[in-house]
Amino acid sequence: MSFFDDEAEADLSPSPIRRPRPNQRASSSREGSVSASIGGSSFMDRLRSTVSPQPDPRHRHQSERSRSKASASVYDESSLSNYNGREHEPGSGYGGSLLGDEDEDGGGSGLDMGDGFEGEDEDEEEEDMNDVKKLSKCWVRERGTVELGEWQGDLIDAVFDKLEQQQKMVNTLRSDPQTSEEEHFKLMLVQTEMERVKFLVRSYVRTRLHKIEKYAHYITLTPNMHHLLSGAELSHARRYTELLHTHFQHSVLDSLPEWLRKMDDTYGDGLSMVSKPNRNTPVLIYCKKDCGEITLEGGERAALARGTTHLVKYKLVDRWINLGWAEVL
Amino acid sequence: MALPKHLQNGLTPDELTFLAEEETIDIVPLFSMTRVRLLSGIYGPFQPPSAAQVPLWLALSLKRKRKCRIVPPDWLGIDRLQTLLKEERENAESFCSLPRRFIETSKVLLDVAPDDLMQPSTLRSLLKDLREVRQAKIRIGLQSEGVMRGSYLQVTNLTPLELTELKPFLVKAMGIMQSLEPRKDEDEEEEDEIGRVAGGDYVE
Repeated sequence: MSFFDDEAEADLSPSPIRRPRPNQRASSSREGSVSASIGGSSFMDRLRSTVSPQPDPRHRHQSERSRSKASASVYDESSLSNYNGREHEPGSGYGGSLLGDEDEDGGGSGLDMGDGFEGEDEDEEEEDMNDVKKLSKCWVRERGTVELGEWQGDLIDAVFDKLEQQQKMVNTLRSDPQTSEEEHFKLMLVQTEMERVKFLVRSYVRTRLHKIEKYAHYITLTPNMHHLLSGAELSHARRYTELLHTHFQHSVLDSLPEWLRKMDDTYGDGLSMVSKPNRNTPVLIYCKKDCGEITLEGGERAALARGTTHLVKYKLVDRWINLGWAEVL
Repeated sequence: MALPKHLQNGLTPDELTFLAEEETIDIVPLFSMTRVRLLSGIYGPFQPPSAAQVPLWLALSLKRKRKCRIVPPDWLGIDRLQTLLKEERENAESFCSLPRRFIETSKVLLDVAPDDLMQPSTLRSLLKDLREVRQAKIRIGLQSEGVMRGSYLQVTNLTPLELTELKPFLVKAMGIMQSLEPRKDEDEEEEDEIGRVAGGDYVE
């Protein structure tokens, strides 16, 4: 968020005020040439301001914007501790958008159902986390559970936008002979981080792809699950199932008697041919809030107090995970 | 296929280290530079005598270029670790609360920046002791009766890395225990499932 905010701010403020940078030696002469080549607003300067922010973006931020967001909070690492784990504000209605819906799994929890405005407060709180942190949480969760989590389309989009912007900036500054030594060093740091973020995105998508292929048939058969997938993922699941079934048909099933050809049969003992996530698989959770008690199958009860860690069946705690009260480890 | 087999059991120690590197640490820079804006936030300015807070990966990368001195976190000191070790030894029933990623953090710090730590070799052996005491406790805990009986285990204060070591074994053991149990409420479960999978719209 900070990235955009600051850049937007750079646009707002008139250029003389926003360039009190001490080491701006050659820039005035350069600015002329640059603004001549790139229509009007000093594009290079804006780029530069994205690597090297203004001395006090925090001040202006607060005065200029009523709804000041992440920029200030990125300084405040302690705020992470009171992050309450919501990955998304609860949206209303399932949009079928390609890259993901905005709904949160726990949207129907009863706590924040109904009016769409309550999401605003949640939103403010979750601004404490930067996108990279959020993404790593989603990734850890996706890796830790057997079930497919919700596709974090908005988050991924935001991260991609930022990555793209950084890449553009790096390319431009790289090819500019005027770029100083210090800026080259910064560019190196920027690129290092980009690689880290790209790794996260890759691993997140791969993990999901793995689950989707594993449970492809089940997913295509269960419309209830479709909102968890992005458009591309859903069509992949469908095509994958189709391909697999066609392959089975051609290679084996066609030469079997008709009653043995089904792909979605259920055996006498209740075992289905369609493999689905085993919700009995234990997960490791860390309770960020007091999650009350759960009843284990033996009739025993276990308290999920705040700050404790448990290894417990996924189906017993999925609601707390979806609410963000419990964190998957 | 999309995910290699060794990654399917959950996070690997390398990936946990990756996560640990996202956490912040104080450094004293040995060079000056204005603020730098990264995706995860704005860091700096870097002015030699004053400390700055940066993510661990950034600190390590600067350290490798000899551009900074890392200020070790306050728990990574001999006195502190000795107290922790003592507590850990005396407290046979449960585990002490330690920083979540202390193993990963201390390892990379000892590897990359031993010269910024006080007596790195002593620290290393203290950390090793601490880890071994905890591992021994885990082993004893698993042997004790009834732990593997249910499919639930409270593992408070164990760090994610220690849990990662345990998880494949526990998950497998629990799976076997489950398959040995008689299936009873299968149908009921099925209905439950359909409502739950939807996620967004189950009624509580």
